[in-house]
Amino acid sequence: MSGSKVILLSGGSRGLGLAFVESLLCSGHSIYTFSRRISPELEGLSASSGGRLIWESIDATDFPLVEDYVKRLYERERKLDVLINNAGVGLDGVLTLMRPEDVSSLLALNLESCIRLTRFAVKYMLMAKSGSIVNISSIIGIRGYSGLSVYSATKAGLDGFSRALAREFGSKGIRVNSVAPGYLETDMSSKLQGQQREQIIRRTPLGRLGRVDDVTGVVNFLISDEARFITGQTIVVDGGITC
Amino acid sequence: MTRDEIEKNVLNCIRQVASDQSIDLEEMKFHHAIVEDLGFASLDVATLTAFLESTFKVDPFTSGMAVITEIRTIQDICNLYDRCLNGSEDKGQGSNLNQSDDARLKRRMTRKAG
Repeated sequence: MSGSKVILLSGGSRGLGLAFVESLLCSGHSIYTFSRRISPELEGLSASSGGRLIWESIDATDFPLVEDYVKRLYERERKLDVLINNAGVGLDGVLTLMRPEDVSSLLALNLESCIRLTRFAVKYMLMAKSGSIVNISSIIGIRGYSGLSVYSATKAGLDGFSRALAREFGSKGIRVNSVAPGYLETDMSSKLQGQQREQIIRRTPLGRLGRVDDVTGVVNFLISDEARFITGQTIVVDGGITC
Repeated sequence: MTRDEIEKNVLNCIRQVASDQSIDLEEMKFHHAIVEDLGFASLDVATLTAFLESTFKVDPFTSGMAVITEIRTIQDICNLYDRCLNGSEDKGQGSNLNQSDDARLKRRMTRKAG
């Protein structure tokens, strides 16, 4: 299909990542994704993708393996059009009660792995003088949330990374943007219960939690030619709760 | 890979990066500095290293074999990849490209000094 892209996406096995995979496959693109484990849903998509969906079991913080995966992707496709940094985890806790190893793992997965994966992937975009990078951030990085200080730090860091890279690579036709979803009906938000959940819905102008397909459309747009003059931006998809 | 092939590949990589710059590549000489003489900006150097890695299938900078700031000239690049691929000692001059120009430049400089 003309206009089909080769897309590298981290953490495509469940939640928002899985939704991205499904949506991007429907749009006719080829997807290379990785995660520690495959979900039954991703297995099903892979079986019916006609070879357009490739998954490998790779921990996003195993940087030599990640680099090798990206190199093999390029050897096979001879191009890499889009990178979506989606892999992340949402460990919560009052800062003084958080285990140091949980702080480190949050920083490693949510921020460092995105930076390292981008470093591996962007060289192929530099050679092609085109490309689009989308970093999946969060409104938590913009507004903060009690109990999510380290998570917030990683997402705010991702937004800063996006802005700097947009300036660094813009002259080579590479666009870099963040997408900051609000509260969604996903695995990561599933701990929102009862009063807390109702309070969020009340504070949201559009009166509901978000759905994954509220976000996938934004990512599809950002990687398309329609977004050709958009770079360095954080697109907030939150039903208006931060407005 | 022979030295000749290395030099040809290095020059091809430079041409690919320079294709959208206003650089007169006909005047390229092995002693030319990538930044000072060819006018490459830091992003061009980064793009060049990407092309070199894709061509030679080795990344001497990330592996610690070389520091990017120590690579100044086209000659330095050729020597580095010759070392990576063949374990060769650094060579003073390249092969056929522009040797007559280099020789004329050397004679001109000798006459000025005299």
